Amino acid sequence: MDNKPLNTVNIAFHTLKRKPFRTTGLILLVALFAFTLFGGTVLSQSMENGMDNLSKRMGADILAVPYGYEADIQSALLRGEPSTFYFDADTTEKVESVEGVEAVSPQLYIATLSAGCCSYPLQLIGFDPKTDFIIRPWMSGSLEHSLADGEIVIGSNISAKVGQKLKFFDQTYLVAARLDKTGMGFDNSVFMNLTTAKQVVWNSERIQAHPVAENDNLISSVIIKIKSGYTGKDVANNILQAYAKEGVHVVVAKNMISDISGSLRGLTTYILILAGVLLVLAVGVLIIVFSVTLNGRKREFSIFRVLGATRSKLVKLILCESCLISIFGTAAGITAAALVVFPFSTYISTLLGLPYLQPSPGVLFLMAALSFLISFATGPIASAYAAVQIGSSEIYTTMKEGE
Amino acid sequence: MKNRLLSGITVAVFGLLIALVPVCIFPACSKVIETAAGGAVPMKCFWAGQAEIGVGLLILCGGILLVVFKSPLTRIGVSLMTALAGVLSLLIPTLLIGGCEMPTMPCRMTTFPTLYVLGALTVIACAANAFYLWRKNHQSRVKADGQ
Repeated sequence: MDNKPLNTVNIAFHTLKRKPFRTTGLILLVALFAFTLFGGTVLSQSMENGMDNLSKRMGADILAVPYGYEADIQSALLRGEPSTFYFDADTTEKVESVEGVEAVSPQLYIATLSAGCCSYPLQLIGFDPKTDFIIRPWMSGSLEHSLADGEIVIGSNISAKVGQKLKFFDQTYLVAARLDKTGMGFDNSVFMNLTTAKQVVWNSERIQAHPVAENDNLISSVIIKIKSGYTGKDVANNILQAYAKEGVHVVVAKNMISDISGSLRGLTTYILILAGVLLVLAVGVLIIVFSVTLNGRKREFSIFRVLGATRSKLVKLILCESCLISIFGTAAGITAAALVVFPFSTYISTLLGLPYLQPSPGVLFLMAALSFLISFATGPIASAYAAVQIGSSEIYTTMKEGE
Repeated sequence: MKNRLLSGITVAVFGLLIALVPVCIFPACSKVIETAAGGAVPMKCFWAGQAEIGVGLLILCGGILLVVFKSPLTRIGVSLMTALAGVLSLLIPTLLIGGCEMPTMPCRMTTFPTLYVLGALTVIACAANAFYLWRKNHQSRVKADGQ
């Protein structure tokens, strides 16, 4: 210990240094628990935030899509995967006449080949500003006027500033607003009015044939709001009964959200179970290790007592050793989790395929602090029994037992 | 000897991983940009990856030198230079070359985050090793002066 004072922390530190393998093993165990706890909490909280955002932004009760494209619209909404599917535009009027329907608005989905900004296919969504009741409310904070022809609103993942121009199919469009991060597919989408969307399609015709350029009277989906007093299921059945034969199919928003909630619940349960198992394992192993090493160190503690150390000093020594293990393990675990969860957040959200929105820095800090406290507590809790045992034993008996 | 091996091998592994990330672990975007003349050039994240291969190999050499050299002062120098190479590995994707703008592109999703983590770990490991060696060297000098 060289010139360091002989206080509890230094003695505990020296004892841990004397057994490097045991100390490293225990630190790794606590680190694994802290990693799972913090990483798992951030992951499940981010998915929960994404889910809340999806419920808030969904707006529509039912989506009418061409038969066979139900999965496509879900992947466009959740992950922004570029999709193209079309049916006749008069479906809007047909659906509007169905009992229980309050409002309808058509949408046109176009997938780009490669955008000038990043050479990556994007989902372009054309909507009708006059009838739309989903997209306009999101823009209320960022766009004052109604979206004019040639203007676009971009998702948060698209790299362009308001006032800049983006090029699609050799034609430039003015970025009028940029949406906040949603954690959904809309982050990778570009919104425009139907006239601009059709203009994009006509421009794309020079590169590849497009069904909308051939037939101007096509749309991709109809968003439907139902009247109060009707359920989504009833109105969906009404639509199917009337127009299923014409190739119209429906996606009920509530069902889609509850499906995603189900998989989210499953994932969160797995994370909680894993964290619980690791907590029990960490505390259990630490209890065993401290009890076993205590028996081997009885002579050492007797000598401390003979040299004048009080019982409370010995208790402090054992608790200090466990606290040091906990601090190093927790710090390593939380740092490792932060190095995985934060830089790779986009990759994780892509792998999960679920709405993923990371909490604000304040919430993340609170989660880190809470995880630190819980993980740190494992050491002192596990060593409490051993500390009490050594604190209550007599010098002579301990010395005899240690021989 | 134990510290020499541990620090040298750790840094060498980080260097090797930095060099391998753009090659086979998480390759950068493979698409090419078509020029007006009809040619095809790789995107800038590809060049960032190429530069990272060089920096990674430099860090790998730094790690090997940490194992080979015995003199603490030489090892301090090697550690500091390797830490600076680690800083360079962080600057290439962020400031010096950069990559694609869209966060969902492979380079921004996997290649660069891995390089940030490995670069940061290299800087921390080398700086800690330099500090440890400096303190050890200082202590042994004080001891020698005392005798």
